[in-house]
Amino acid sequence: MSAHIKAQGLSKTYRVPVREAGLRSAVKSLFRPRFDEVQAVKNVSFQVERGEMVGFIGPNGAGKTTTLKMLSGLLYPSSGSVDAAGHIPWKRKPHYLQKISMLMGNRSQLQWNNTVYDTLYIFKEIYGVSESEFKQHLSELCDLLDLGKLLTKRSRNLSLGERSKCEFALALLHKPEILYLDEPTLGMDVTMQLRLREYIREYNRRFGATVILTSHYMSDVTSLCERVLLINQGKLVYDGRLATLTERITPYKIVKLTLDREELTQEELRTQRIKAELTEIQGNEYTLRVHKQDTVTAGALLMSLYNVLDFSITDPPMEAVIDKIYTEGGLG
Amino acid sequence: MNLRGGLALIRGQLFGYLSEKGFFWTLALGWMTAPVIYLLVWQTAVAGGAIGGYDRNDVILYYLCLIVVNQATYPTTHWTTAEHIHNGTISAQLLRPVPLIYHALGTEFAVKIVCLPFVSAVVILLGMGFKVRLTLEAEGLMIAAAALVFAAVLRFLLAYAISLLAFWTQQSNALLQVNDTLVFLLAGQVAPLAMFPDELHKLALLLPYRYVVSFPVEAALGKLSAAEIGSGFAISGGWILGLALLTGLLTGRGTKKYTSVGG
Repeated sequence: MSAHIKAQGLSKTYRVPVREAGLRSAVKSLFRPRFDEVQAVKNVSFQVERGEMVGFIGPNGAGKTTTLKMLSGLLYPSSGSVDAAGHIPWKRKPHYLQKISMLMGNRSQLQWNNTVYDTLYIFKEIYGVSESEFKQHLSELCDLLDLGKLLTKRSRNLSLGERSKCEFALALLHKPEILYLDEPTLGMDVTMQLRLREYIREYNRRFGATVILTSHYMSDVTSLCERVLLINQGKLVYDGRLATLTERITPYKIVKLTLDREELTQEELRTQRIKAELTEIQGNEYTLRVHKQDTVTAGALLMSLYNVLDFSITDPPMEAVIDKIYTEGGLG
Repeated sequence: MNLRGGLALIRGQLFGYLSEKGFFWTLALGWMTAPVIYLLVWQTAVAGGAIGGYDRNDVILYYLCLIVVNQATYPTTHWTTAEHIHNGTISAQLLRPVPLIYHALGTEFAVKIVCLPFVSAVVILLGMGFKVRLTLEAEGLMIAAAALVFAAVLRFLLAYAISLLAFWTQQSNALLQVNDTLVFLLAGQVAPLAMFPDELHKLALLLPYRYVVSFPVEAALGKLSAAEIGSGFAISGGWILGLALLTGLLTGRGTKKYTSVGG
């Protein structure tokens, strides 16, 4: 199968004006402006297959949005190449723009003074969607995003969550084959986030769309993407399965147990030769961190030595995994 | 070309502006104020006899006609285009499969559709109030209509080309102000160009500003000879061609610059 998106040695360097504080520097910069070069993306290469959903993760300023902008055609790279659906994105040919959609959570496509329906209709015309397709797509979108009551409202009167839903509807109206989603669930409540994720999954399944997603809500990424691209300080530091990443970064499990009385301490664990680290105590509820290879033994010992009312073993939260990478600067 | 998309943009902007018609009508009233004041000044000035071939009735007709032409040719999007470039919201437009200029054109058409009926009604009432005498000739009207189309295109391109400089500088708004001032001074708003001193009049005939307001007004009033009409269309046509090429160049280079530094 040939790659739907193929990026090769992609780099982007920005030239940023800089000056010291104060009047003297301000005047000096009028005649001799100084610039710093900021390498936002450094030699990034990856491939995404048709119909794949990939999470693009990294801390603020890592280069995620810059990369997405290069893929969508909004940015011209300093070096490297991209082939997306057979096109060079930054040439922004209408054929390519018809095939993609880029949803930026912090940028609006809605027309402030128009009703949602009118804006959708304008997009229908811009993207050349036929009348029958429009009716069908709109009905699906109304169903999935609960848009019905919003269609006759003016965009300026929508709440943040309602606006996000409508932005999503606009992005998908022409059935793009590639979706670039930059923080798509920004400002949505939990219920809406869940519905939207469900819709993205359904859209991907039904239309075989390729999705690249960035989000600071890790649950967006964990629930939708098996594969992640991890970018930090402009460099691609990981490209692979999300589960493998978790395994590599945090090779431990989280054990939660409730005992019939308050008796567990780190000293007690050491005495009982239970290889675990007590990380949280709330009354008679305990949270322990146990190395994966010791989980079975530790679990058995805890169950046999104490009167356990409740017991669970889970993977560490994705946020903890990502935080470890961000704070330590890479995968080591 | 995606004309369907272009028409949809006009329609979309029109719906939006119709809901804000009060704002645009207030704006249109503001644009009418200066010509009405000049009308009052000049009709008093010519009370003692015609100046530069304009008597009282000509002056009133000139300014009433100028109000409509000024409204029909005044571009509004050049300010917003520069703003979209500065604050990065032009990115959304760059990702749509329609040429960038369509967004500005859509807005221009919509503003004119909303404002012109209102302005025309006010002008008719003013004409009745001033008891102006009007003789209409089909040939003159057709020439004036053609000159009006040229004027609208030329004035739009002039302002749009300057607004595209926002891709390179934060100061494009200052240039747009200069452009508006030159239109005000040299397009026949302060006084009919026929009343200008000779040297300034000759200069005004070569610059584009005369052709964005004064030329269609003079044509409508039948103040131009066949030769003057011919040279007027030739000069404004030349400016349109030059500015169209410049706009194409600035759009191409500007978007490349924009996509190099980030939106």
